[in-house]
Amino acid sequence: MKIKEGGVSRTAFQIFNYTFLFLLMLVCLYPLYLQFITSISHGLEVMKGGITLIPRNITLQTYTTLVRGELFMYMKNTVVYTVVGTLVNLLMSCLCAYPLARRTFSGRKFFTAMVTVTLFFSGGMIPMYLTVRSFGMMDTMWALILPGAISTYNMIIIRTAFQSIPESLIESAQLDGANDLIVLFRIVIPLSKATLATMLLFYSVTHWNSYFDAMLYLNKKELYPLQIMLRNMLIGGLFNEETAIAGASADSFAVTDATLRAAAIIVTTLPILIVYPFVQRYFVKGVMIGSVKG
Amino acid sequence: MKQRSILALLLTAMMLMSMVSIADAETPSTYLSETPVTLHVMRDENPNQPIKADTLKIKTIKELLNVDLVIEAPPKASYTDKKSVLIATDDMPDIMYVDFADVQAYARDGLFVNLSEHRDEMPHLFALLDANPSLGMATVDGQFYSAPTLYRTNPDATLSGQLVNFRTDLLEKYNLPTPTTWDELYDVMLAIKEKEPNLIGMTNRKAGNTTATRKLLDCVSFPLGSYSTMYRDPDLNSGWIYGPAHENFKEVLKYLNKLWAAGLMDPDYASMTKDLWQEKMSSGQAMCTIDNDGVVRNFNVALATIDPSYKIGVIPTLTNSLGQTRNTSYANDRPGNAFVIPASSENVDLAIKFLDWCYSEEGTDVNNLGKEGVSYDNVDGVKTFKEEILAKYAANGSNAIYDMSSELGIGLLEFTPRYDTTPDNQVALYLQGSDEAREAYREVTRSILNDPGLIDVSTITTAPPLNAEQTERYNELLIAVENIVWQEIDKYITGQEPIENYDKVIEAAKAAGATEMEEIYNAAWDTALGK
Amino acid sequence: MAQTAAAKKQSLKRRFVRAFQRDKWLYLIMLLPFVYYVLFCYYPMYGVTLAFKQYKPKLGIIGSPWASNNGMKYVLQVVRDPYFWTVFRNTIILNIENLIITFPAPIILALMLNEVAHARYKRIVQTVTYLPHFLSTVVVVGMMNSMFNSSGIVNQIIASMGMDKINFLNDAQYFRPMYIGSNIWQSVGWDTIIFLSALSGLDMQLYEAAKIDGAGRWKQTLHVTIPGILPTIIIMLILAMGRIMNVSYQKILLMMTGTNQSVSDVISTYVYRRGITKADFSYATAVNLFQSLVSLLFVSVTNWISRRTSETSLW
Repeated sequence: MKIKEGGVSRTAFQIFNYTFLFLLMLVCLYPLYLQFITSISHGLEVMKGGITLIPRNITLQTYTTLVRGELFMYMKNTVVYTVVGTLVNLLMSCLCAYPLARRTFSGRKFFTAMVTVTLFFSGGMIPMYLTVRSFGMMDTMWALILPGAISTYNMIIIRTAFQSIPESLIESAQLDGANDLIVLFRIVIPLSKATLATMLLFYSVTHWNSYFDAMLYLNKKELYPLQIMLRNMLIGGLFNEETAIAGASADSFAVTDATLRAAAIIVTTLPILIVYPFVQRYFVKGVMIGSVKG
Repeated sequence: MKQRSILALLLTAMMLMSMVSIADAETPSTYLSETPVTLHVMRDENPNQPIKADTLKIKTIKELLNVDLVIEAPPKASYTDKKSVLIATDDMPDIMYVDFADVQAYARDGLFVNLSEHRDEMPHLFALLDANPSLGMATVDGQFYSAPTLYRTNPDATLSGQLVNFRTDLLEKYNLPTPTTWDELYDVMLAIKEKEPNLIGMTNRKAGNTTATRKLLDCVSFPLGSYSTMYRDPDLNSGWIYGPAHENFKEVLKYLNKLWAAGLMDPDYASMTKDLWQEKMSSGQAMCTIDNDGVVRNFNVALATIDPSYKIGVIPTLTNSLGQTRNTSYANDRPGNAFVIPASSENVDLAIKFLDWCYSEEGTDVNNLGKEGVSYDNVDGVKTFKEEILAKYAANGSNAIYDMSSELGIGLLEFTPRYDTTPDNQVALYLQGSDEAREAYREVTRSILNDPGLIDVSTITTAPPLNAEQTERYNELLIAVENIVWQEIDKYITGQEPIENYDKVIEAAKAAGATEMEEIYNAAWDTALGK
Repeated sequence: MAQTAAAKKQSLKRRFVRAFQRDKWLYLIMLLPFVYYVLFCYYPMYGVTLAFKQYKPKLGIIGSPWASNNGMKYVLQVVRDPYFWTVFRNTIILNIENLIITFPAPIILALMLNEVAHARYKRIVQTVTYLPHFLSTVVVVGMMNSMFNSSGIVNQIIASMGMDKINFLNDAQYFRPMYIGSNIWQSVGWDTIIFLSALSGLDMQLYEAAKIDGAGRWKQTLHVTIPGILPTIIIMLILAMGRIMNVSYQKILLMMTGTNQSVSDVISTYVYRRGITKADFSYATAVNLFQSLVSLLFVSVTNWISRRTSETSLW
């Protein structure tokens, strides 16, 4: 049966598609919604359980407890690390991907092998720690940015994007006298906006969520990123076997570790929700390549 | 002439006197060093109690000892990783909080200072260690390379353990007697279940990184006649045995199976999380749980909002099918959590003196109470926190103790080698609000303290010191044996396998190394005791 | 033609110099990344030898003596342990099943999103489906426990339909479905990003040409869209193969019970358990090395296949 461009079958598909996506949205949204209502509910109600659709005994105490002075300091740190880190990532990854994308590059085999090996083999925690220490980067921002400057995984994706730019375009630019640096920054990168926007998102989310490197290389609390505090709340609380002291009144349980955890999750996720729409602009269809014919 | 010489004499005398008094003012006898020194120490930070700089404790230490204490506090969730990297790269601060397993692993490589060699410089610590010979188990080749976390008692001290927490209001409601044996507990739960079929009998939870089944057995297997891992059974006089590979473990499984068959066990017992467990106990869905009584008592607040008559209380230790009335309380001294001084530290002598000071009466006071006259009063040796301080933090309810400890820099969760639960006890009493409530609270805690069936868990589980080969061999065997045992236990609890077949598991465990594990421990134990 | 060895060397050198001169800008561009890889990837790589050494912290990795059995002590410990092969098998099966199900899902979702004409709806759906990616494992497993336990919503529905309650959380046969199912739910939205990005780069003119040839929407998808994003799909598949041995221990640890341990125990949880008793770096490094070699094998095979059958490959 021939599927027409328009007509009944197409409409049926559209209805199905929209409905399916709507249901998918509900399923994805619900857990975060659940965390949100948990975070504004009174700790005692959360303890008793059963909060599924509406918050109970709403209180903002959890957030006021969470937003102690340090939260903003940690958040500022995370923002700085994310911005600087992502810039370094993108720059280094593009510099690495471009020569590897050029089919006529004489060093192509050698460098491709060099980066691919690092996908599988790494020295481990101890040598990395010693390396960072010997470069004097302990307790500095650079310990969080330099060791992970290039994610080979992401760089390969960028390379794939660069590879899809026709050689002819590059050659004609070179005939006009452009060297490779100019080609990279004036032609290749602008034409790969979608992929680079995606990599910006990936890299910045990685920085935003990272805690392990910070835990390992930072000793001063003033330098801690947000995730260290949040993760400690989420997981550290699970190990709490110390005897709890009986609090006498219901008010004293307004804020419990369950509500704090929920609030912590909201605080971590919110910024991404705010940043993402800006990056989304670059996923507009047909933003490039249409101009490349000939 | 004579006048001048008298004057000269007077002047000289004056000068001498002033020199003496200046000297006294400049170096108080408590100072550990003439010039101010900075000591870096490290311990993990519990999310409930952030470790702050510039607290009363740190200021007091500076005043008394002329030491600037800098506490580095990586988050608890990642402490294991950080600690192991720091040890492995020999990049440790002057004093570090570690597990005894780390001491066993690295002491022989010369990473830590041999404290036994500095016995003369550490009188307070060794006085405590000598007074309690069982602490000698936390040695490596007979030497102390670590200083254990030690306990100092106080008049308001309470005892806690994994006790039988029961909805005592249900006993009253249905006119049932308080059970004195485990079988009676079963009868009582069955009776209540008939009247209220929707209630869950016994519930439990998982803990940290172990399974829920494991945690359940960690709590109930000793009271029921065995134990979930290596231990020395006080009633069997058998030396070290691996609980699950012995006959008495069947009693434990039999009882749990009995509960399961009658529908008295939480149907999800094998996957219960801490959150779900909290829900079931706080919303009144469950009758009973064998768990940390302090944590469970907190649920009474939530229960009261459902129905003020609902109440969870502690039932005194029950008698099991073997006629034993026993349970464990949490250990007070914790040699498993210890403080080490790395040999590569630049301030070894100072660290030694400081660490020893922490075990002195004065050090314990500062680390747990703060500064006399500022945060607490000392009347004839009875130390009480100042009313204003308690009141100030009481507003924070259940977080009161954490907030107070964090602000003052005191308590077990801080850098405190010798801890005293005075702050915790006094805050708990204060929070009760009224004198009647305090009496009721004291009654509960006193009855636990006086429960004859409770024994300190460290008396049955403190491991003997092993040498390098023994450690490696033991760890290997433990992994192999546990792999076998823990995949089978659930089958016997749920009755999927009849209890008689458990003998197969015992055989398999022995074959996989349980017997050898026992031999290793018994040999090491005898060696440590000098037999 | 007989060339002397010296002459051969000369011409080789000349070829190098010429190649270098021709590509000198490319080499310059490559300089910074090269320095990065040398300093932070290759210089620390001596840590791999830890697998063969009896590590003594005071001596460092290089100075530590070789382990017994010609340095093979820990490698043998790994390989001779029958239980290791159980967890190895579990790891591979879990990851392959995971891959089969979670790899196509985002591609299909991306294609479905592509069909949404309403730009705003599309953007909203995208943003919302990303959210689960940010929930931590602890929360996800906690929710799974709440929903699938014996009195949870799912079992309530099952019971109301007259069927027996299912022991989702304990039964060994439900472990993999639960694990993979929660994985899909958590990652499907986020994983579409890369494919959406590839889709946005497709040439509109190809669609025009296809329409002129009379192709309906479905045929367009088959002949323009899919071939257009095929290079991305292939690279992502090969990279996914590289992670065939990686199963994070945290989620499994939260879901593992005694009953499902026979299928749920994987390499990372096993190593984690061994590490609790003592920080055994050598053992862990030996296991890592083993995992790396297996991943390398998988990727090499996949890469070779894709090189033969398409133009895209990792190398």
